[in-house]
Amino acid sequence: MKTSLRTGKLTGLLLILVAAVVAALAAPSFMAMRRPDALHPGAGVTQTTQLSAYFPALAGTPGDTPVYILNGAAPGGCMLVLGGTHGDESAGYLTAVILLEQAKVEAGRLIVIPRANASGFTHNVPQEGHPQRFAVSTPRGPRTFTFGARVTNPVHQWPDPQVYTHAASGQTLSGIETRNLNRAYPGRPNGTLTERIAFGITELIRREKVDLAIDLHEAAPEYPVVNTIVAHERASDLAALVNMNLQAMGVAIGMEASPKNLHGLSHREWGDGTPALAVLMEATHPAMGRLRGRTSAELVTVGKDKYYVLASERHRLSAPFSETGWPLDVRVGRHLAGVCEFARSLGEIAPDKKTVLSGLPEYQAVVKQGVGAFLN
Amino acid sequence: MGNPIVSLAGGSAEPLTFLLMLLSFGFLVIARRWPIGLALLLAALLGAVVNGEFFPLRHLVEGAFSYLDPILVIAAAMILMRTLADSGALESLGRAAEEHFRNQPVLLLGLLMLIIMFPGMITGSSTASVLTTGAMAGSIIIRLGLSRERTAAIIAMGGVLGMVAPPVNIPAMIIGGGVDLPYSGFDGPLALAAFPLAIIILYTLAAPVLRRPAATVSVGNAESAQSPVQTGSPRLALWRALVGPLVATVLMLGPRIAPARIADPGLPLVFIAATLASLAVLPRFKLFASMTRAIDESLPVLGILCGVGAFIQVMTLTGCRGWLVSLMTGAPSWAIVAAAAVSIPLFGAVSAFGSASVLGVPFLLSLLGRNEIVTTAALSLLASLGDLMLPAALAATLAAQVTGVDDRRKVLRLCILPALLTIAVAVLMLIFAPKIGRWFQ
Repeated sequence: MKTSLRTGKLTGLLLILVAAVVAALAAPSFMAMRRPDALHPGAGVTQTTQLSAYFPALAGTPGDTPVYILNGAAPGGCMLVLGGTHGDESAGYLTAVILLEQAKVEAGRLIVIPRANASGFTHNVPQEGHPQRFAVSTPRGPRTFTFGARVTNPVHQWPDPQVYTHAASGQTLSGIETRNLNRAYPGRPNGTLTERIAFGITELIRREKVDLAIDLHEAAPEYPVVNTIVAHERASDLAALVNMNLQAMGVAIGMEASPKNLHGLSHREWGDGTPALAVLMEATHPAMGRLRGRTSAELVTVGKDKYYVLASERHRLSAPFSETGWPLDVRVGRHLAGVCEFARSLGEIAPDKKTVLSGLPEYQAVVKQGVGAFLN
Repeated sequence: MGNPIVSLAGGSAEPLTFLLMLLSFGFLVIARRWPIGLALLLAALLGAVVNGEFFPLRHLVEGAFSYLDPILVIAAAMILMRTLADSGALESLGRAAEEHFRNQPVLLLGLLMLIIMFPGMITGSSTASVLTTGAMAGSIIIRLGLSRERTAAIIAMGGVLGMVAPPVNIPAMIIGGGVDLPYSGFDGPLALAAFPLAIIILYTLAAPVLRRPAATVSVGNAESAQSPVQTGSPRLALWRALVGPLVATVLMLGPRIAPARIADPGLPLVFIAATLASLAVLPRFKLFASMTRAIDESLPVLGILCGVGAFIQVMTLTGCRGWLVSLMTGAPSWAIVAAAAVSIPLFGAVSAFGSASVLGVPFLLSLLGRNEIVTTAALSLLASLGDLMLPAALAATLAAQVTGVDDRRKVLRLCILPALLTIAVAVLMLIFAPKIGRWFQ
């Protein structure tokens, strides 16, 4: 018995030692994700601030995030573009990065938040096997970006309730959605970290008198809402015009009305709770889907997947999927074309709210030259 | 560095990797008698290495942490249950039941099934059911004269169906969330899916007791748990025994009733608070030994959960998951219901919630336009059976533990027929979804 007890203690100590060694070896890779990517604002950025400037309680928390403001010389409207609501939707993030690194504003004002949920960029979703980073070729060599998660890091907001109840509407969703920024709007000043980030963004929209707010996303090819614009009812005319113009330039894109009974989403709550016209854009991202094969950084950038080609042949997808896949260049090109078209079309519909952008590449240029050609 | 298995097998790399992982897992468990959790971890490591991931520590750790929350829930609930058992609280509850339902086993069993299901209904977790009211009700059912194995099967099925029953069904929320279907209007279809099945399964499994002449059935005529008997009046003892479960119920129900006012403390904290409340009112016992035993008993399951998480992470990384999903959802339209009936419970072997997300959503997409709410309810019924599938078989494993059954396979064998019946109900709901949907409009 004594021997058995001693053996048990020895095994226990050995296991603790093994756990410590594993922790020491694995920790650097997880901790490295907490270092935000270096972004290089272009000449168009006239002011850089933090989201906490609009909601001071976020200062010093993992939810605070840089806000880039591009002021034009001429008066006009104010446009907000959000990337990185979900850290694993890389096209939205990179589109926002191109905007802050390349765009110039001739009239009006552009506000860009590239990592709307900064906490989501500090971890990956377990069991998804996602890469922690992916590289984009630029003329100056490869530049790496973080591939994060759809939700706030549980280290920053924990535990999840079994059921998430959206505070403003009482709508219930599965517990993990409590960490989804795009289910948390309009947010609460005394809520969870995710609700506070949502509150900060809603405050920004109100205080900056944003006329048009665009939330950039990506979705799995099987998701019903993909390759489309989702528009709040007040923004439906504008979205229809943008849709037509994009189709004319060869960007096949759909249009959906923001569901009135689905709460917490940006397009619904910004549209209902602020004067801004609210829209959301979705591109097709194979690395997010359930039917994808091997998961790698290459899948994020090159976007090819044999199982999605098979699923497309079986008519199981909402988006077309051929051997050419959905490269990052195409996905970013679509988003960028959408943002530019929204700015142009709003100027046509409401000249006093125009935001005139310049310095940005056309859709075909992004597709042909690649995203990296337009990064600083 | 290249990918060895792709160089070797080309387009068949994914099925070959999966086969290799399964074979190595089977070899380690059967031939080398390794613990299941460790065998899963090693199989995952092998799967990663043959795919050119020679140092996959980050993936193994990330995967192993997938189930941190359930791990904490199980550990905390086991501590609560051990506290209730070792302090004599379970014994007091058994005596109270004996007093009130001496000759009404049918009524008592029905009430106990509802009590077993209740935590699952409000938390969406079969584990919560099995480890709390399941363990308590189990001690009473055993005293009715039913075998420990059948009692465990009732608890496991009660937990699974509690997880399906309204108001909270997390697989349905996950599946619906995948197509932006709001979680409303589900109460009727979920009640239809869960309660009739619960009644049929309960009385089928409890038939040996019910077939006996009523006079010979008594709550007290079976073996009783070896636990200290509480002193003082039985009524006081009963109230003391109920303090912990009541605290747990209030803490679980509060955030459901007033979500804007009462923060959800999370199930681990709920169970720890209930344990502390119980300790404050129950007679003293050897606390440290009890806590150690609770953790000892739960460690194998916790190890399995870590191993399962790492296994799935590597399956996703190497494309095995995509290959499996593609295989399962690739059935022709006429066979899609059959494919769902087979694959969703089987994939639940690694995780019921994972199955709901990975397979439930694609199947719902394949069945759009056939009343999405009823279809989702039926798919969630199939997904919930994942908690009965090996290697984790969480509901059956924990039910075996709380009833003192040494071999969980005995419990699983008894769950086969109820599980098949559950699949049949789900298939019928899928086929007749449009008609059933009209009942609830």
